[in-house]
Amino acid sequence: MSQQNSRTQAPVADDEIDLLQLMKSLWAGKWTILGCTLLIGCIGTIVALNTPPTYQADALLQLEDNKANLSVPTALTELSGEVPQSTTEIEILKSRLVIGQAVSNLNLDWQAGPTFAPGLGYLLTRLPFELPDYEFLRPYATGGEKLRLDLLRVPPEWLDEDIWLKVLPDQTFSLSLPNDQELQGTVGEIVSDTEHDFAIRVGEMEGDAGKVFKVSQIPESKAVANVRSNLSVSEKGRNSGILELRFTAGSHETAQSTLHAISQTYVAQNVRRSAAEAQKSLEFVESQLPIARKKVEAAEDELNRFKQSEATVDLGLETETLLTQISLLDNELRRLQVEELELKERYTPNHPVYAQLLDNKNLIQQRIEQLREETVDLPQIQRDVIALTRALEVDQDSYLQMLRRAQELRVLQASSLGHIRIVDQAQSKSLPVAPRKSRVLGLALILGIVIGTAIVLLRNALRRGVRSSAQLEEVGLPVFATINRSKIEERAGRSKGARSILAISDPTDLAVEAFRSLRTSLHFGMLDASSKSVAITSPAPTAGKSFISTNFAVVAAQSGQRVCLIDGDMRRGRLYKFFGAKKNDAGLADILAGDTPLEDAKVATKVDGLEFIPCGKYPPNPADLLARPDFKDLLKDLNSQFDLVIVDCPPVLAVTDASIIAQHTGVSLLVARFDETPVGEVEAVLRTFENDGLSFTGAILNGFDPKKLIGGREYSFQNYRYDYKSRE
Amino acid sequence: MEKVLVVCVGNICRSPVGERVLQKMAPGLSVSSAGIAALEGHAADETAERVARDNDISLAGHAGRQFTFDLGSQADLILVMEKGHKAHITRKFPELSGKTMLFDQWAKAEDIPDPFKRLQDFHEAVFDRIFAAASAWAKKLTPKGATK
Repeated sequence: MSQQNSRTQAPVADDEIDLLQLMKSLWAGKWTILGCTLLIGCIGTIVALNTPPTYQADALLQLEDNKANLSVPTALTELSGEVPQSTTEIEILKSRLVIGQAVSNLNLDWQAGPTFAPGLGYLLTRLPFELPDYEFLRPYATGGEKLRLDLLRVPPEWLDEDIWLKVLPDQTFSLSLPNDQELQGTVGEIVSDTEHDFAIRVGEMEGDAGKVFKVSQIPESKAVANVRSNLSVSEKGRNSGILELRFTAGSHETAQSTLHAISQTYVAQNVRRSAAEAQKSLEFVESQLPIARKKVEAAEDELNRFKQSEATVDLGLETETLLTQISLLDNELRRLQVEELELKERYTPNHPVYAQLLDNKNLIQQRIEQLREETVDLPQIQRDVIALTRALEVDQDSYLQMLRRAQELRVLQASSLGHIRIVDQAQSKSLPVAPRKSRVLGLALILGIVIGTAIVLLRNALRRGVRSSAQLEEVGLPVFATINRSKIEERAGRSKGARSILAISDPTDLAVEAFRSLRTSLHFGMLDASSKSVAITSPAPTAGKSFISTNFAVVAAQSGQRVCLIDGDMRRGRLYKFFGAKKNDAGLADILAGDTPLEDAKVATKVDGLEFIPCGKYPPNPADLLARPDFKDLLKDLNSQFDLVIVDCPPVLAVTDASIIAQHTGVSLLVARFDETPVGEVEAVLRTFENDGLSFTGAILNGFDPKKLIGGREYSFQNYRYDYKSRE
Repeated sequence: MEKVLVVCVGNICRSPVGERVLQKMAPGLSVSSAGIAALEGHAADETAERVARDNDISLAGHAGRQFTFDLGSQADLILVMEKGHKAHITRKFPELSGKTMLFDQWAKAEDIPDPFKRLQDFHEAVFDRIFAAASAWAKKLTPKGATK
């Protein structure tokens, strides 16, 4: 139990190694990241170049209160409307009223443009070199194409339908209509099809023969929607009354002219709106004028007739005075009546202004009645003359008043400025606002790096090494031992020079216990083996073959067996470091080459019962040496002298040496490093061996680190079947 | 191979029987037993004991022991009754996985079921399985275990 406790308390803190590991794996995947970055960068560049540029025009409008400036009688200023609100005006600006007018002014519902090759069409127009004259490219735009329409009229059923215009030599063209009809035409002349109410006149056409343009008339609602979607209106600052208009379009001329049309239409409609009430009054007054004139003429006629029939009539002073008074009051009454008519349009009789007017009218009417009663005493002729003269004067006066009012209203209408001032006329920037090439390219590069890194990390995550002995057993390898990661060993592995053997330097290490375990399982694994030799190999280098071979040899020797350890890696063998031998000491290579007898090559070790044969001087042809019968004989010789012969082999996936060695050994063991050796490599090794008619007896999982396993470690055997109390 | 540790769950039914049977068959070995969730200090199960006695095996003096890393590392060979036990040991003590083998390794290489609280018939069947498995192990262990 004490052993177990010490296991759980083992401190493990290697976060810094993880970061280093991350950097390493990123560095290993640098080409992937670079490739991804370049690829996506290229795509970004192509997209940026293939996107037609967008230009933006802007204009500045001011909403102002200009009532005070109006040079009309104050009574009339009420007619000139309210001070506008920004939010309201923004909506008006975007209304069909304004935009629809601009669309019809500029014929924005006519669409005429070159056709682009599918895919990268726009790119063709900005190539810095001439394209070869391929047949299939001929209809498509290559830059510089232009088509201006002076007239386009299509029947309603052809709205939104494409009409194809093909350029022919000498400024002529052919049209293919939606009903498959073909028409020929010349620039500057009207081409029409009266049957379908179709007419077109091309004002300007540039482009080589064979180029095809697309012409169509879209419904006004669609054109308005198009314009509206490209128009943005915002107030600059809160309650500043300054509206900024922005409009984006494919060319700066279009952007500027469209925005100009929109702002002009908007201002015009505002002026019209301001003058609308004056206009209405004027219309009424003008409609009354002829009637008033007829009345004047009729009164004149009647007075003349009376004077002719009755010869001269002389009026006395008293009569004259009465007449003048009545006529003055009558004038006043008429004036009030006209005023009343106007007021009626705007107020109910309850309005104070209206009520006051009615009071005045009543007073005057009463006074007139009084005066009339006084005239009853006058002679009949005089009374008649008075009546006729008065009627004439009243009619004349009323007529004059109407004329004056009409004139005033005309002045008001003409001087109405509206409430909108254009501060900045529409103007477009000469540089396009989109696509922002540098930004697109920058984003593409960043995206490329991110995606490349993600791919590398994902690949690493998927290429994880063996993580449990069960994974090895799944591919058909019984696991003979699981050897814990040993820090002491790892530290020693990195140092140069002589190396210590864990089983000797630290016999209590958990890994050593695993080697004892391996001895047991290998004991039973070798029961049926033909010889007492073991080949230990791995798929790739750094799985820990030498560590395992050496320690296992020592543990086996310590248990009383006579063991011979051979460094079978005649390319990069390093086992001599464990046993204090030197690099070029005679060894396996020299024995096989026949230069040294076996007895001279064997090195005695500090461990009783363990002898060691180094790899010898690295030969140029290790595989050939191993293939010689000498190797087979050597193993046979050693088998008779020892209980166990361990051959440390080179990795299988690197060279064929291991396969050759394994052909002559009793059993073969495969070393897989926990979390590093991929299962795929293990399978590849198994296939390689299978092709050579060999098989592995078992596997050793090296470098096992339970801390790297998420969960699972806190596992306890649930003894649910045993009920302790029931036995009491 | 000198020390063999027979392991089951409670260390009162299968492993005591396995221990005593194997010990009798391979006297040169030192056989002991433990349980991975042992009823510590307990004598062997009565039915198991009765069945064993009928077959001339005594379970007298047995006391349940908990399996520990130390016990496992002292042994040269650990024999478990079920594959699940091996998986448990492998997971808890990976270093011991190599020397852990099935008690039934050389007979049927299958699990020997737990007879705890089952009828005597079942106990007898399990005893027969243990007996057959132990004799196969004894054959494997005796010639080499004796040489050292």
